[in-house]
Amino acid sequence: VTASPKLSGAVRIAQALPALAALNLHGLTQGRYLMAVPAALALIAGLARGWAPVFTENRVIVVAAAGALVGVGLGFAIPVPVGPMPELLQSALCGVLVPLSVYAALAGRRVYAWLFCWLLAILSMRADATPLATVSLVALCLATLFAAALAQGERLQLGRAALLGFAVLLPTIVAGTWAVERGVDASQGTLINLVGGTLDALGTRLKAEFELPKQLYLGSSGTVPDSKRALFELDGAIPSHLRGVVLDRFDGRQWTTSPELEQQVLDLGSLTAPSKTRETTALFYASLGERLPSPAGVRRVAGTTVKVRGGWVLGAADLRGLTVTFKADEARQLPPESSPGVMLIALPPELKGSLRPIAERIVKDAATPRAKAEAIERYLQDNFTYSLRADLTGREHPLVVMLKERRPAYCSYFASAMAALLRALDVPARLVGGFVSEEPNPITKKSVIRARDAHAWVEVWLEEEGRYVAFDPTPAASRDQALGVQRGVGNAIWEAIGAAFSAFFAAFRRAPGEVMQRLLLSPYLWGLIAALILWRAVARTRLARRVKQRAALEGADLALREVYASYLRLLRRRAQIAPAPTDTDDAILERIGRARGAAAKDAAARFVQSYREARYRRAPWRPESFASSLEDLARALAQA
Amino acid sequence: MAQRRWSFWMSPLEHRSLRLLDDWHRALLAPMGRVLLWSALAAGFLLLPGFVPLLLFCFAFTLAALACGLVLGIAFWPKVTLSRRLPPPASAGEIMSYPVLVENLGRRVARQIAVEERALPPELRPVGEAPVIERLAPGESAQVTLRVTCTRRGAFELKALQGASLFPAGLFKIPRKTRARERVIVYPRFERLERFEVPLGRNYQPGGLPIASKVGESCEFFGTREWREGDLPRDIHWISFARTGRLIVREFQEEYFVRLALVLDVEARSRQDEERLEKALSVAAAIADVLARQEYIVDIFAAGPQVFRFQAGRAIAHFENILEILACLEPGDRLDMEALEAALLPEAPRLSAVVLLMMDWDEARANLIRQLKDHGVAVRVLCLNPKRRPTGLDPEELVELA
Repeated sequence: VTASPKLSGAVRIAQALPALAALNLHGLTQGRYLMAVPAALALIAGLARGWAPVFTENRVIVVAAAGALVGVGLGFAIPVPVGPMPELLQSALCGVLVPLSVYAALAGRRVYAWLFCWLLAILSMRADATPLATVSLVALCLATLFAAALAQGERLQLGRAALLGFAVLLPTIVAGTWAVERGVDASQGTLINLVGGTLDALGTRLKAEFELPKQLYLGSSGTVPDSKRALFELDGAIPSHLRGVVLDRFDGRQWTTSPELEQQVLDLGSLTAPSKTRETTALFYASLGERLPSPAGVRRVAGTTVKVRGGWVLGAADLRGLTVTFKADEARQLPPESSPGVMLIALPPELKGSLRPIAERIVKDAATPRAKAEAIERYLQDNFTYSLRADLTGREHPLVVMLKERRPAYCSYFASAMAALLRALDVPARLVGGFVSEEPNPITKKSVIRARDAHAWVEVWLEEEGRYVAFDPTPAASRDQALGVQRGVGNAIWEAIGAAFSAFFAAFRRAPGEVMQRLLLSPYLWGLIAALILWRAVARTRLARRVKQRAALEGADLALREVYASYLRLLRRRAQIAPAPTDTDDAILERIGRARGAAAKDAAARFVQSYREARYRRAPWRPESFASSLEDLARALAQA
Repeated sequence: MAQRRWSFWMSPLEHRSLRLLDDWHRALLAPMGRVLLWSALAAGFLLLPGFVPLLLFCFAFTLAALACGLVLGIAFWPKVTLSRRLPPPASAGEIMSYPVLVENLGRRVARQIAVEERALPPELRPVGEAPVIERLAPGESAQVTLRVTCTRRGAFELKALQGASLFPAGLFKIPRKTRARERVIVYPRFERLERFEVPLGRNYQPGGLPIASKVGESCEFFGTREWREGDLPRDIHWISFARTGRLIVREFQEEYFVRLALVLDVEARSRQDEERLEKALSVAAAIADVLARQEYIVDIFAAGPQVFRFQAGRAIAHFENILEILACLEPGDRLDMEALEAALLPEAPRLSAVVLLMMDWDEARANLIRQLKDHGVAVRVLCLNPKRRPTGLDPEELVELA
């Protein structure tokens, strides 16, 4: 059997299947049929005609350069969906990989072909999981498995054993894929924090800061990233909302913070201390830009220096690893503010004209601003569904489309809709960005705030109270469902472990010496070390005993051991002599002599003699000589 | 073989750690397994900024396929022994093919056994993909041919042979290794020269008996004479001494034959110098090939920080031995001219000609040539530094490469 570069046509086709599947996937998800279809046709034609171009470095460079040019050209004509890298770079990379996959597949360089096509598929994955895209991806996976399992040799492995193996492999991998997907999804935040923390410790800056947006744009469509990356944990009296940014200016499409609010500086010390306060502690795993998310009604902050801006928004720099304590008014009410100007009821006339009838229909006969706000909040919560993707394309303003057609959307749209509806009724309202807290972990009693918990809600000016009051119109139940928030015991344990890791990394980065000192003085660490030492000592004693028992066999040649095993098998089958582990060779020979006579004993003795020579004196031996000895013994046993 | 000098342009596989990683990566993963591993890493990296369902599916599939491939691969771990039969040494640049015998010692049929060398030195590279034995019944043997490209000369060690089953997933290889260490010599690359002109003069070779072989040119009994001071006691003719009572010694016909020296300057201070040294060794091999076909004695002087001397030709050593020596020569940081002169000049009266392959040209080297010429030895000089041209030599003493 020799390696042959000549492969059968069926094997070539099977090995090219992943490339074809990847081209199909790329065309489908990126809408780049202009490149994928000709490439696939060229591959099919090449396979049909038996083209086998020579694979050289120079040609690879030429093909890659041509592909990059076409890719960039197509990038201008057909923009690729949002990817992990700049659009033009992704276009160029995809352009390089398409022709290279075809070239390598035709040239018979299967490893390159498979690698190029898988990289192409991965770069094309920033797309919607439509049924067609999912089917195409599954086809790529199947083609990959088929090529790997059945097209390894010179011809297709279509024997019974190979097909049976493939039949076992397929469901195993399906189950494995499901399990890995679920596991990774459940532990996403922990994994990202772990990788990011490790890389950070190594001095890289892969994990960027998380920052709340300073403005909010309302497009006709949008997606909210479902990132489980843990940002900070809350302990103590956990508030439902943490304010990070106030957006009071709305031009019909975009919410921003007005310069007046941005430049205003407030002082927490000027506030009167409330009779009853609630204390909340936050440990930050990551930096959050210049924002310090805080509960409403904060009176005192310990653990960092804060700046208070207009709208009672707190700011602090470099939060990672810090523990910050908030003391807030028990009622979590915002401190009084001066009466807002007309800016808080400003709305483009067209939008106001479209929204006012809807708003009036919702609020009906509500008289006070509070009643109107509560009515709109309830209406949005009860009649809408939360979705991570908002598609509000239509002839009218996205908010009008959403309200009229009751389309699903996410928090920014619900909050914007409520604020705009209130403004349409001349009730001053502003948008607030921050985080919403999840239920505390039943084990740690702490709540971990993740990137996906970034949220937007509304603060309404109530003249009678002289301050802003928060309203959250987002449908909470369907939000939890869309985000896949899980509340099981297993999930709680997993989250607790992840939070402990994240806290450790954050604290380590802030003060490595202190953490190490605490670790070294921890009784748990020394208990663990003692347990490990004990376990090793016990294991070594057991191992030493086992090694002594096996020492006689370990040194033997593998083939020689097999010969001796054949001898013992022969005795067991032909003479029903099953030697015990403690029986010596001489004792076995005696038993053979007694059971089958002298001739059999002599034949066995000859075998044992030659075996001992080979085993203990390292005498050269040949399998044939032992085979003939064993045949003699078998004959002697049969004649006895 | 000594570790090669670091260079920005050197192959990544010449780094020990990278080579180790590459070896593990190739030894444990089948081609598609390697592709899926890299794909899993790429997908995982792209997942860091945020999860995308299709990308997550890719990541999960690649990881799951690798894990299943590993688990199922362990279940079909083949129990095979492997032994190789090495061919005669190859030259640098050639492909060495050799058979490997694979025997199934297990009780089950072994399927899709990929046979390959493990931990190959960077100078030996496998050609193509590992040959695969599709089916091997228990007790059955099969033979595959492994092919290795020998990129450089040297003495290398083949450390382990591996037989691994690709069945059933074709993703993982769970290997069965045989630690059959064997030494491989790769000769320097050389082209056969039709002829190489050297001035041939036969010189008196005292003590030629141990180094010459053929009757006629070795010592022949010539007669006896009276003892003179300085004669060797072993030459005393005891029969005549018994008969005459005087010390009589035997006289021999002295031998005369051609003896040449090949001086190899192995000074190499940079990567470029090392490349030139390889060229010099190729030339030396070609010259030695021509000389070894004649009835000459060839002295090889390898001169670097130390000077090594080997003697070949006639019955002393064959051409293969010369090539083995050339294969194993290592470059040195400097040329110790004093040591070379101390080794070479005392031999000059007995040498017919000296062929010098010089890595550079300077006054010390020119002085050596002058001293050799003063002893009446013919010289042929080849300087491998294209920027320096030997001076003070007659045109016929200068060898130019075509």
